[in-house]
Amino acid sequence: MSRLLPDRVLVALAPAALAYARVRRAPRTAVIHHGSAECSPAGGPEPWRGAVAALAPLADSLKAGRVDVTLVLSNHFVRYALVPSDPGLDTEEEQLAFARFCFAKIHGERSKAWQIRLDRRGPGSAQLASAVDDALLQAMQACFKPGAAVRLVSVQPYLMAAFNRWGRQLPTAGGSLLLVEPDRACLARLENGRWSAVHSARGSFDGATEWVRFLERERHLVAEAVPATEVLIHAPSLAAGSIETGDWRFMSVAQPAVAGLTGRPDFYLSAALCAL
Amino acid sequence: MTPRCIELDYIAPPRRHRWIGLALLAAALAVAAQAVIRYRDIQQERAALAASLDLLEAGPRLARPVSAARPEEEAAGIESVLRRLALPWPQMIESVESTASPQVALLQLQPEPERRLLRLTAEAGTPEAMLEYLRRLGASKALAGVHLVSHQIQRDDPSHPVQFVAQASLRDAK
Repeated sequence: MSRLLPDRVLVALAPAALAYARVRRAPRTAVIHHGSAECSPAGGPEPWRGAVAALAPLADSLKAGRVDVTLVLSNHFVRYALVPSDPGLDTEEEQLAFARFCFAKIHGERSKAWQIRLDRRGPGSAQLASAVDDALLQAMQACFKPGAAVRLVSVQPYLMAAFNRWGRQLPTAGGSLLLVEPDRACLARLENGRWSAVHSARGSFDGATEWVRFLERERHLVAEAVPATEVLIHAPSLAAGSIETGDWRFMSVAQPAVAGLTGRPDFYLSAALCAL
Repeated sequence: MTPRCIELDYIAPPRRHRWIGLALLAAALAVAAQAVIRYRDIQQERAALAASLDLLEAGPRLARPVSAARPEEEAAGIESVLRRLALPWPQMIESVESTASPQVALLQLQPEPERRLLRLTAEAGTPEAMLEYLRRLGASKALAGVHLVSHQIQRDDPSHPVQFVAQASLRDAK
């Protein structure tokens, strides 16, 4: 292990499973170990309890040298909203307060217990915001001792990790990224580099029929006409290639080619490797 | 428009100002490069100045003008040096060496250029050896008026040698 470039451990956290990969960064990027664990999906307002319970022993097991840990949070643990651009908001604090106001309008009082992050895209563009339970963040940080060799360096919503990994595959004029997980789907749409829609829904999205239904419903929700187009999709049931259903053409995302991995990684491991 | 990265990280700081860091790095590298170039120029300039200074110090040292502040002292110093240079050193040393004796050891030779005198301190094994030495010294061509100034028997020494001081005038060189 390089002293200057510690190993990275990428962990995908979902209600029913946890997957991780230990990645060596020098002399070349390579997965040296990976694994997964099942979690007890906790219902109710804190569906992340089971995942955090599985994270703690994993963090304890990372003893060999310095390790930087990145967590990728399932969309089950994250809420998204598009915050309209307001030129009257000058400071970051004002913009963040406005984002919090937007979440409160959608989710009510419980949003007060969330931590908000705001992605600042250019002026005049709606901004993507995410919200995560403050208790979840504290529970995850509690798994890592301050000042220890194993450091928690990043906690990313799955949409962030996936978009940063595969967003360049979207058409320049605009396109949709559909992230399908067990019991949840999240759609993010860009038009000319600006967010036009972000929607995360709970339900069963096992096949193309459900995906089309979800996209059609989203098409009716937005005011402007959404042209039928190609959709970049990451879904557990979809192998490499594309599927055409009606007006929609679903293109499976290209998996990262990483040394040390043989074959196509399973869904949760693939989600973890988004943050690579 | 090419989509850029999303920044919604809950731990890592936003990277949206990465260009500031890159600009600072570029500026720091530029300043460092400028400093290295300047340092090299200064080193070269310093070496050239040092060489010039050496030349200046070596060349006109003898041609330095007499200080106007204390001309009398400077003149007296020059005169003293000239008198020392005018002493008949070869003849004087030859005379002293020719009078050497196994029984007499020369301890000190002290010329006085202003008075053209030579003062000798020596040690002889016996008083007779001392007198013989003075006689031969007086017979030399370079010295005149040789006489005994003082003498003392060293009683602490078991052989009781005689330590004496003699003085002679220097003859003019011909």
